[in-house]
Amino acid sequence: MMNVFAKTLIITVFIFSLGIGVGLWLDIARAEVEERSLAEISLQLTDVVTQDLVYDSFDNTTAFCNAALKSNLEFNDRIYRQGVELEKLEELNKLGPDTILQKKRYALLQTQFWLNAIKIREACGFNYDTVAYIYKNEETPELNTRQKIMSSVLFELKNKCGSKIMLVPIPGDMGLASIDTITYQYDIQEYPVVLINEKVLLQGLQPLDTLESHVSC
Amino acid sequence: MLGVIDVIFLVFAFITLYFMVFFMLVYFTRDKGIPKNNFTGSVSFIIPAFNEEESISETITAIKETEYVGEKEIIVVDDGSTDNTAALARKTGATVYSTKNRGKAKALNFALTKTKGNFIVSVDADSFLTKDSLKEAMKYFADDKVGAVTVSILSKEKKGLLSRLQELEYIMIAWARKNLEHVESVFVTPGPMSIYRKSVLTEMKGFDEDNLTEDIEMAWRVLKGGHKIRMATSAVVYTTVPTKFKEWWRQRSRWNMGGLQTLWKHKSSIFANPGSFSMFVIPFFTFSLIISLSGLTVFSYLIAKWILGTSAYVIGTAQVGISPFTSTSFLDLPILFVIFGAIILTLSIIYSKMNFSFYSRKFQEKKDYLVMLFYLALYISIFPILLVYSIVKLLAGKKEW
Repeated sequence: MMNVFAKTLIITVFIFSLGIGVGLWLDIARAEVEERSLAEISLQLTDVVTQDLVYDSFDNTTAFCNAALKSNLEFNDRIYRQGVELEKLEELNKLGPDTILQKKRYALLQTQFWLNAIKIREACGFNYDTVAYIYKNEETPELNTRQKIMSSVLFELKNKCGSKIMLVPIPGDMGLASIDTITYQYDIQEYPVVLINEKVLLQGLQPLDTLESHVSC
Repeated sequence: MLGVIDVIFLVFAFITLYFMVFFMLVYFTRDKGIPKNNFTGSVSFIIPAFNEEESISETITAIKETEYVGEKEIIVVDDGSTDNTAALARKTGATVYSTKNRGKAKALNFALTKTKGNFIVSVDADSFLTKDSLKEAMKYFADDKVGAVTVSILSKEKKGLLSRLQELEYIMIAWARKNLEHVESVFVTPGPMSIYRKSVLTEMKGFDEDNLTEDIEMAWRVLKGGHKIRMATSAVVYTTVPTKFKEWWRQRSRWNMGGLQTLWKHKSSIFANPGSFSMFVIPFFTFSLIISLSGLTVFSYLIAKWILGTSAYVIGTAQVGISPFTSTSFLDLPILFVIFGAIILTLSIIYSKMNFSFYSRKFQEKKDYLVMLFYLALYISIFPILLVYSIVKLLAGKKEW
């Protein structure tokens, strides 16, 4: 009788290991796709920033400003989608490598983009609004709901305003010096936070109307 | 990364896989030595009946028509019926004893005192033997060590979703019982029809009158006493199944309560000796209970978490003036869950089809697949809830039929 139980155990362990193996392989493959995508975005940001340097050194025409705006908007859309993908990966990835490093890179890319968007706006005299959404990565269930609601409000705002706003979601608790400096500078104690045009700081849940009253779209 | 819920899911997946593999392995490696020669001995049918006028005549007629060369006697204990059960039973040719209503186990024990046969066949008053039922089942008694023989109990009704679900369930139960036979662990001698050696019932001092499922309890004592229980798959008996949910719920909660009573009664036997009863039956029962209850706890936690989270989200979106459908969230499942879900579903389908083909019942219509999916996805999910209900009812001392 014991023989049957032992044989069953061996077969079950085999099937189970196979399932874990396939799961691990697929999770790693998905993380690699994400990694590649992040590398491409990083490259795209370097391109956008280099474009600014070209502008600083050689050119200050309206044509250049329009090209820079186009690049920034494209980048904004892409990195937003990447952020959603990354959140998804973090949620679904059970066996693959940790996503924390990717999130850190993502946070830095968003910060760099934000600063670049401010710079272009000033240099070219654009009137778009920068809306930085600073949220907490390590969240309690209650904060998760609040941040989910705030994300939905901002998603709605972006849908309404389109290219008139640059929406920049940044996880604020990644232990990165540049982002820590911003949170220190604005004395951010409570998440989520919305920072509009680097002047208006709105802490906690905000109605869509309030946000709309601070942007020009 | 893996969280607590993920680990629990994986443990459940492993256990489910283990038992599926176990049953399949036992089936494919089983000893196919089904007895071929007829075995004859004097047989006493005992039928406890309480208000069974609708079916008693048909039950007795089926017994009379079942092919068997040995002696047969049919004893009906009219357990305080207020209808025509006794008269109809008498008219159909059974010896009838009327008593006041005392419950099934007492009726069975009373009937035992009136029997003359060497083999006792307990039959429910709403179950119907086929031509071969008795002959096929009796063959197993050629082995002196066999103390009891169970048969394939199949659902009589096949119309309506609940009946079709039970049809599938009864086939699966019968098939599982055959597989359990190969590891000497048939843990129930079902009421619709089971045959016992009279000497074994005498040794056991009859059925436990305090137990709601005297058939489970008896099987446990037969195993504990070192006797073998065999499953005669070729012996088929059709039984009436509940067609209304309320009746079904009542029947199943009684089965659960009886099972729990039996487990409690025999708890000290767990791992007490190297036999299959101590080493497999009791641990298997206990383990099933734990898995069922912990599964329900985790599921309830996840549902409660989802309801609270969604409610808070909906209220929050109303407060900030946006539609609750504006969300960037997603409903994807982790790959790991999908993989194990797919493995278990595939094995379940293969398992169910093996069960059906064993009873020469083929999946012919789309409806069969739908019933099976319904069975796997919803029907068996009700059982943990039913178990909690039964535990509460048992603890409250409500041990009625």
